[in-house]
Amino acid sequence: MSLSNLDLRIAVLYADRMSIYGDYGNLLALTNRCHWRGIDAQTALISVGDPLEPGQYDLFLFGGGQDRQQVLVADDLHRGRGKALIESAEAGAVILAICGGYQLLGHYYQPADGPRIPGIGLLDVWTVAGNRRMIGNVIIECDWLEPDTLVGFENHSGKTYLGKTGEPMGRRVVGCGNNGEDTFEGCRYKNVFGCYLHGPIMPRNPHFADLLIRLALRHRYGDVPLAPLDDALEWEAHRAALARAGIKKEAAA
Amino acid sequence: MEPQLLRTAAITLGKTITRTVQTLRIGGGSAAPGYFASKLYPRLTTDLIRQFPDGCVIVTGTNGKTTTSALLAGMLRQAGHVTLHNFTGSNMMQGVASVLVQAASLSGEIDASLGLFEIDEATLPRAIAELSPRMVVMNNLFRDQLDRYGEIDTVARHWRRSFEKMPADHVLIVNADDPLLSGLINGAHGRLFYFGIEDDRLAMTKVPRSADSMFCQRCGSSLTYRRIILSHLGDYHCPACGWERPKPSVYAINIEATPVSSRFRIVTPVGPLDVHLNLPGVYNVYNAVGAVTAALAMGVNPATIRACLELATTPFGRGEQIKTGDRTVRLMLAKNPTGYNEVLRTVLFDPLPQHYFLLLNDRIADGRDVSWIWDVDFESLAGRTKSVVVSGTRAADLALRLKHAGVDVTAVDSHVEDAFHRALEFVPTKGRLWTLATYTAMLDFRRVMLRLGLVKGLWE
Ligand SMILES: [Zn+2]
Repeated sequence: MSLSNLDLRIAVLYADRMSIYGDYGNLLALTNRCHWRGIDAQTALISVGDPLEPGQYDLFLFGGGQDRQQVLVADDLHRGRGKALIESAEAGAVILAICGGYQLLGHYYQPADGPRIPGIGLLDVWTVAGNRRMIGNVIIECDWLEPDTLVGFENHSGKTYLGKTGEPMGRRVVGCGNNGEDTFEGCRYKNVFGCYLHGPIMPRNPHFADLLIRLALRHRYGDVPLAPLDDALEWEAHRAALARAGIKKEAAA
Repeated sequence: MEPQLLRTAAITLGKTITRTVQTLRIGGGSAAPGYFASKLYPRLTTDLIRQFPDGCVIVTGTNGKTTTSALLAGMLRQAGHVTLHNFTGSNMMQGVASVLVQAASLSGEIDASLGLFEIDEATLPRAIAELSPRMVVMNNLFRDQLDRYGEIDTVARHWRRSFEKMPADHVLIVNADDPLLSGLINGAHGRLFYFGIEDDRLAMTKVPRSADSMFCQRCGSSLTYRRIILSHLGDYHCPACGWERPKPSVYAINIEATPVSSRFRIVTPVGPLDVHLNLPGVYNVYNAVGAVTAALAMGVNPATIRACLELATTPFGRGEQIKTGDRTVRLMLAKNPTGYNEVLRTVLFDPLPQHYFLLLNDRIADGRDVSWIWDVDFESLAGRTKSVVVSGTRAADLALRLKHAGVDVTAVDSHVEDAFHRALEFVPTKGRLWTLATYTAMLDFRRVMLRLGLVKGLWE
């Protein structure tokens, strides 16, 4: 199968209400990495009240937002969009959820004051408001990724805990991660990845970006080999983040 | 120790640190004297500002506060106020304390009638509590260094709380074009004066990506714009609840802006002012109109105001021009998406070939989180640059951002001086090197200029 005939359908969830901290960079990096290989990546914005059918998209991006927007979005997820997301994920579609999006894929978010905001329970995690903001560079190690480091920047006060079946994305080497208490960061289930890694995460972690693209293509076409790209700048930025944290690693091809 | 003695000791300590910093030419140390002096005597600032017969004025907002306060300082001085101003842009409470310590005699007397302080937006509640200002000038509120401030809603909430505590005779000067500002000012005590821009020819068709407060502050619905001037600033209203932009009493019309200057008319309750301003870009029109509104509210006469605007020069790092042989460096502070976009929008008007030197740092004063560069419209540079050299502590990240924007990066070098020499090599005779830097990167760059003998020190 020739790569140039491929297309990938990306949905950006609630970008008008939940897109802060440069999360646009994730979409840009994913679509560029597709286009540079001749894969036609098409993007749709799905917001409050928009139709969403299971199987319609191969890859979902779900960013972070402010508390007030979070309530609105949670409400909308429970009007059908959440069910479509769960069915898509069970069928192998890819979801990358950051911060507020991550929290809403879990069971609930309990704010400091006010009622519990119910999530869709796709990830076995729950989140409670903390009284300290966890801000700073993050580096995690993931045993399912090669090379095994992810670099990002966290900025959250919510503390997320893994349930019995919740599989972490990785162990934190630098930063607070899910809650600053256990050593975990993020949660993954099938091709669903939820975490606190802003930064944005896609540009500086090209191995992870390509994994998501490969998984999304598999959802659509079955296994497709990805053409290599010149990632010198990507790895320079990745290595710079490791070096600044004093970590020496042979990250990068 | 007696409070008097303790205060004298604190002032002495502050002055000593100031002198040391100046002697060693460390630069960027304008917070240290105030910090240590206030540690020794915490009531220092409150004590010292009490002697100003004309009180204090605060200028705050995400972008433009240095320029606005510099313009306002000029107007107030011309009108006879002996004004003490934290002109170096060190705008946390330590910076204010440093300026006070430097100006005070050992017994604590300051030869000034008025304090004018540029204040960082996160510091505003504390500044209002400690300085009891007679006037607060608010330019805008953009997403800026969120890692330091928490989210913008939180900043807004803290602001609202401190406005509620202000006495009713205090004056608030507010940019009417910013829905976030005008939304949170609702219900504030004090006398309100709004300023803005009313010029449809400048309007953009859609809200740029970096805009972040397009929701009604009252009911949460999406705002509709009749006109967008820059980022989320413009003429807005809420179709759901009817809330709308307040009508400004002072506003600019007929704006003609170029990369180095602009001409416009300011309509005021006391008649129009036709202005030629030697500062680039539409964002400086906002700064000028904000300063004019504040000066009018302070009773400065229009002729004085106009004369001061004509004489305005670019403050430190805000479009500053540096000659190096037959080429020119123009230094622009660009520290957040909105500021960056406005600088790019202005620089792209430059008819000369486009050469750039871009510096990105992630020190505390810049914000440790540099993800905001992904919200800058670097795509507007694609295919239009002759050379782009990137430097700073996060040079690699900026280079990567530019790659994704389709901008050809000529060289990446985190060493500022080396990178500068490479950047300059590409610039032809009589050419201009547009140097855009975050706050501490600008200080780094200026230090290089100082070492090369191209600029004078801040205190010289
Ligand atoms: Zn409304």
